[in-house]
Amino acid sequence: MDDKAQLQTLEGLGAALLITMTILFITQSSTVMTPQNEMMLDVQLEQMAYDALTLMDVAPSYAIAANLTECVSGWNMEDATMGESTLPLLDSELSTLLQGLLYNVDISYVQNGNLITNNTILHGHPTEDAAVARRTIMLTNHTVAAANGNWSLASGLQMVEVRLTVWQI
Amino acid sequence: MDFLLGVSLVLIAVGFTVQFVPSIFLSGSAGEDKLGYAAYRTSCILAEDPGWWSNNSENDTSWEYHTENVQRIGLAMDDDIKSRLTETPNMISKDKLIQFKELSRSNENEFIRKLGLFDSINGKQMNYGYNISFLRDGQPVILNNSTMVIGGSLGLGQNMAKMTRIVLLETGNISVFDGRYLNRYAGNENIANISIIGPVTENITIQITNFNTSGPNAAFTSASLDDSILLQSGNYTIQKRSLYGNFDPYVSPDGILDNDSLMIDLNSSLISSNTSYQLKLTFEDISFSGSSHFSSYNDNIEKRYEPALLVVEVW
Amino acid sequence: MADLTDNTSGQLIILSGFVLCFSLVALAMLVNQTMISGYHSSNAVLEFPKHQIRDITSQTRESCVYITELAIELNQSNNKSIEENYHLLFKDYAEQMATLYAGHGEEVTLSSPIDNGSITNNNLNISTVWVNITYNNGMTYYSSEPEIIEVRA
Repeated sequence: MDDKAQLQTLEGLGAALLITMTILFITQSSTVMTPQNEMMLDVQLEQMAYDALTLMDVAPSYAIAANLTECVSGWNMEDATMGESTLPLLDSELSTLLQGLLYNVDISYVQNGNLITNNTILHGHPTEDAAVARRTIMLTNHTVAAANGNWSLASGLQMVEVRLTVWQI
Repeated sequence: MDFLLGVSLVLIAVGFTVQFVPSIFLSGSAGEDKLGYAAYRTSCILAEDPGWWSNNSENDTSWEYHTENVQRIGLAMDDDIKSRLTETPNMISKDKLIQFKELSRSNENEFIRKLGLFDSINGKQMNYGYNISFLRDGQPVILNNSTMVIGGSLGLGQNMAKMTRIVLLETGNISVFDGRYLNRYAGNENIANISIIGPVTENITIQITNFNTSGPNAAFTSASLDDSILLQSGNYTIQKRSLYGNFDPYVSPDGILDNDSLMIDLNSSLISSNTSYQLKLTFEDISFSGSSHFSSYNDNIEKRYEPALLVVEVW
Repeated sequence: MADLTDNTSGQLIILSGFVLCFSLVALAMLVNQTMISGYHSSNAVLEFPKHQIRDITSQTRESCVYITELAIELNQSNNKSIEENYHLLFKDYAEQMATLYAGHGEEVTLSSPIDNGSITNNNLNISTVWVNITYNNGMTYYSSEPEIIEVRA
């Protein structure tokens, strides 16, 4: 009598159980470790960047040290070098709002019909999945004078675009 | 031959698994996306929308005063309640937030329906699990003696989508004075005199920006209320912010510069009766120029906003 | 069966190779599909330019208030009317905004129609202005014509 088949059936059952357990384990643990897919993380990062800029623009001046317009009005018109930002006030406020993230800030403005872009906060080179947020602010002679900035406004108003690039380490 | 048989058996087994246990595969794809959407949508409507209420005759965004006729729940503060949008997204109104918590407690079904935190499967409503919390420095914010955490907690091994937003949260009232124009106490230019009309229910916060320093030892010395000296930490807390910094606890006699800010938090229990109180702040080498009898806390009152995180989790 | 397995096992190996191939391809496609659908749906969240549109309208509201103030101020020192000053400043503002947004491939046009009563006079001061706003990034077209802005109480 050949009762090898009994053993093989048991073996098969054992193997099936092992595979099922492995698959279950992997799916469960992966959902714990990566609760969101990558695109959701991108949405989250971009949203954080826009939140930081929006908040700094709409906040009343006493809530945070200086709002976005006040920070940029005080710019000394110089480019930033690595770790040496030319908008220190904006840098310190962003670092508290965007904890655990790295960021660069560029500002763009129009002068005599030309678009000029300057680097004002430089913390490194953004990675591939960095998110970008932009917000436009308006500088006037009044805001520049109040913040001791070096802007020279040709007409009464200067539109400036603040571009914030945020990425995770 | 055996091999072919084996492969086909495995394929059939896989096919059966996909057919009858779809949750394994769905959780990794469509289901998670729906959760992500729900979290994103909820965070957007809470942070950026002022909400809406209407009955047969009236409607505007002040739903916190008409909770029985809420159409849409939103927490953003709004200056112009007749327009449907707000010019100040990301600024969270305290009154709306308190009503929001109240609504989640009193009528959870309505709350879930208004926020759309459910999915319809074959016409049947399946509620999502959710947790909406407001955090400052990683701790839940406490307003009106209740923590601003709404919803349950995540079970083990469940799929969850999370959205974090940076917001400005209204936490109470503040009076901001420019130190250069603050009124002095009669006869002593180093003492600022502020009147507060009682009673109050919330802590009194006074912020003084810009100082007129007149010597090298500029510092804050002491505070007194109706001529009785107040105790630091017991009666009040004081924090200082430099031009490029955040508020940190202030210990006398730390130096104060012209463009520093001081924030004084006065315990509400001190101002409990229905009279006017005189708060005297004594400084050294700082002079106040205003020569009226006192500066008024109540005339200068504004809403106090502090940065916080809004975390929406859906599962 | 016996003659099939005799000396023709090569056929079976090829056959099983095929079966394996197809099953693998089928599985790969299944996984891929879920990933693509995830990509598309969450990408749609990012694609709608809600931040841009909000930035343009709220900035325009803020700027118009200031432009009006400045126009009234300039009227005291130059010989142009408040309306003329307003339109000159608004044109400057619109051009700067258009250039800034063109810098990243988005088209913004802001105009303040002159002929059809875009400025409401109230005791010779401007109280309400009308602004036409359009935005286009190739995927989404937005227009608000007119956006009515209260510039002075």
